[in-house]
Amino acid sequence: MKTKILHAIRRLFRANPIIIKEMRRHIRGPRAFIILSSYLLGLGLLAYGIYRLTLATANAYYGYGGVPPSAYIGQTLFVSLALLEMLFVCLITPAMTAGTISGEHERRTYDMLLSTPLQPLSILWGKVFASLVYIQLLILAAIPLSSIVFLFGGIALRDAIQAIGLLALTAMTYGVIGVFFSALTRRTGAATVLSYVVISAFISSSVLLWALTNTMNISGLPRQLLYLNPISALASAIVAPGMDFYSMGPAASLLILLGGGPDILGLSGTVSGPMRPLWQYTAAVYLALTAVLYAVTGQLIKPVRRWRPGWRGLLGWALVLALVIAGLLFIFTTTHGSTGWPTIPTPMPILAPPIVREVVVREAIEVPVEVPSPLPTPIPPPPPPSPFDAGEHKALIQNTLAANILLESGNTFCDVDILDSNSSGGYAQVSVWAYCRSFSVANGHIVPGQGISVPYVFEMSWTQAGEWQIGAFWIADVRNSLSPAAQQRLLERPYDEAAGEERLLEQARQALSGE
Amino acid sequence: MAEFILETHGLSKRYRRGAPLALDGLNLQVARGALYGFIGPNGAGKTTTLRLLAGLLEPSAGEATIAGHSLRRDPQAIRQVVGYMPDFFGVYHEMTASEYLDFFARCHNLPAQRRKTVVAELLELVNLADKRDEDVGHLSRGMQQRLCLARTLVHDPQVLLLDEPASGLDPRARVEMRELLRELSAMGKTIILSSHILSELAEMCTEVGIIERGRIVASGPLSELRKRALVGALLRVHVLSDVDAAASLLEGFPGVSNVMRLNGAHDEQDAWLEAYLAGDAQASSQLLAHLVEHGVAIAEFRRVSDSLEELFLQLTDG
Repeated sequence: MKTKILHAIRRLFRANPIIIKEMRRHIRGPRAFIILSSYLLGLGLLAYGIYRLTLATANAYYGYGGVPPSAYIGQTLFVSLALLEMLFVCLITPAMTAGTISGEHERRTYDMLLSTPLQPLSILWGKVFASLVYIQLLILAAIPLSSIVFLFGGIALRDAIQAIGLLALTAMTYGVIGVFFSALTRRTGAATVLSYVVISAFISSSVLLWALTNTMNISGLPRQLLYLNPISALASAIVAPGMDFYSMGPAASLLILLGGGPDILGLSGTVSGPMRPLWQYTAAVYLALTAVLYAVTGQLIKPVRRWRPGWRGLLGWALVLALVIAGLLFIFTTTHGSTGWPTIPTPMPILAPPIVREVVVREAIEVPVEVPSPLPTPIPPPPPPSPFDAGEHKALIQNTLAANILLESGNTFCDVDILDSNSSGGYAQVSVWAYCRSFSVANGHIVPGQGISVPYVFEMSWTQAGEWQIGAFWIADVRNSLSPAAQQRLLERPYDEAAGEERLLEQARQALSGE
Repeated sequence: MAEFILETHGLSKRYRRGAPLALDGLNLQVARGALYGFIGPNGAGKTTTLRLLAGLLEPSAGEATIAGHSLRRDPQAIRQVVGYMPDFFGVYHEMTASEYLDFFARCHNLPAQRRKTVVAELLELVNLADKRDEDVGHLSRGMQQRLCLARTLVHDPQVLLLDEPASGLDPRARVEMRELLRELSAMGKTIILSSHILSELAEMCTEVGIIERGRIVASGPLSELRKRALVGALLRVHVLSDVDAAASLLEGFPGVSNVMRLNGAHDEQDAWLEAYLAGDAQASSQLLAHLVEHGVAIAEFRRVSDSLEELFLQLTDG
């Protein structure tokens, strides 16, 4: 007894040889690489195309020159990718699984398999599992690509998980449908055709229903017809009920149309009260269908007594079915009236407490060296000297003027005669007569050039550095700028240009003699 | 008395309601270590018998035991002691020869370490050690057949059920297969094989069963069957004296019929005579003595219908 249990446990953990063989077959060779690469490449290109298309057609929704909100792009991409992947799953799953059992018959390897101690149910499990692993690999491989939608936002994580879960469940159910027909017909061609016929019927049920309702005006058709439709389930899983779905863009509209229309999906808000989303029924029906087909297929692949299962087999399957149904009933009755997953109420935002920084008071420490204070205390400017002596600034005025007046050419020198000055606080105004001339050197002689003789007004201010600086200067309007006393003095004793000429020449001789 | 490793009691199979019995009450006893050959025309029930014994079909009636396990009650145990090779064996493509054997070793729940040695040993046994990493689909038909035979041996079964192991093979591959089967027989395996080509494999069988329309018509060691079949034999006599006198002497002997001159030569002193003798070896020796007594010069006295084909035809036609 003990060894029997040990044996059973060991068998459970020993890898099913069929899984190893089938996975090798799927992954070996260039085929798996090509399928995975082209699938991801195609999905990526389509996603990019949809992205561009969304931008280009956003005008229809947001006016000319309108830029769609990021969430709109995200939702459009998400819905499109989910729809594409669902169609991909519907397309590839029968092709992957319809040859699993019949292929063994056609290669005439089935008898060899059955003559080993391998149980038919192990063969079935290995076949189904290996095919599903490969398809789930494709679904999982698309997740990183699909998660770009989270960059744009507008998608709840719950929607994404629901979509992936539905994809996985659909792949499982359709995989079992393919294996069932493969075992039933024992011919790959027939099994493939039959699987596609059944799956097409599932998908087109919504279109049929929509056509009957809207073109032939047959009303009151039961929603239950859509339970088997994966597109309807997807639409109900990722488009929020009661939402203005037209604002979600063209992809969602297409999905909802393919899924049977907003009314029947319970998305239009016309149904009073909360309505259980369609996908929950689909999930339940698919799970039950998978269990039944798996059981029937397990019987079909037996070498003997194909149509007459023993009482133990019947009992086992009845037990499994009862468990599945009981589980589904439990979930459906306990969550009655809810519209989706149990919702967790969002907590009210609370204000973050102010950050209190504790100040540690320390004893003063004697520091032997004098540490310079990190920030030098600004030295207040000394009060301007009083009275203001314009004569002290004569050289500054002359140099400033010489550097700023543009004369013909050469080096400009200026001679100023202070006419008047007044000051108040840190501000002073100096009126001067300026006599300026340019000098150049030719053949060892200093040659005088162009010159001017005009009155100037200089504005000066007392700076932080404790000195007077020139703020601005301009040619003086003699009538306004000069005080009457200064005007009088100028009339009485005008600037002596001849003496100024002498002084300029002296300046020029000193400055240019070195050259 | 030899120990029987395989016994069937009234084993019958009817594929569909109303269809004729594909196998009609087969009673068979095969001794341990025997090399048993099922011989019969196509559709006689050879494949049905082997599939029934391998547990791939459910018998409509009857029972069989292999190595003490009941076919009906313990089919799982039967699979552990039986290695079955179908007539149209399949090969998995995209698999190397060693992976192919490894896969079936896994199916038989061999632990990992043992699998490795078994695969290497079997490839050595069937002379495919240098092809271990070759794609199974690229091997020649003879190699595939040998690989398939190796496949039936992964779990070291006591009984091998081989359905037409030599069909579709070229003469060289057939010789190799025969050598291989001899080797396996020497290793103590009980081998049950079927064939519709008699001379190929029947020569090496210790016992043969001739089956027709679902029934065994003759069974036993080949020598015994031969003895039994010699009830009637075709005789060829090379006469070097008066041919006409010899012919009349032959015709006058009880049990002799259809006397005729071969080669049509009108040489009165040298001719071949052919006659049918309804009798066993004893009768033919008496006939020879009778001819010699009457002064017939005989250069050669030969039984012609000694081949298995003739034997087979006699047994199945009757």
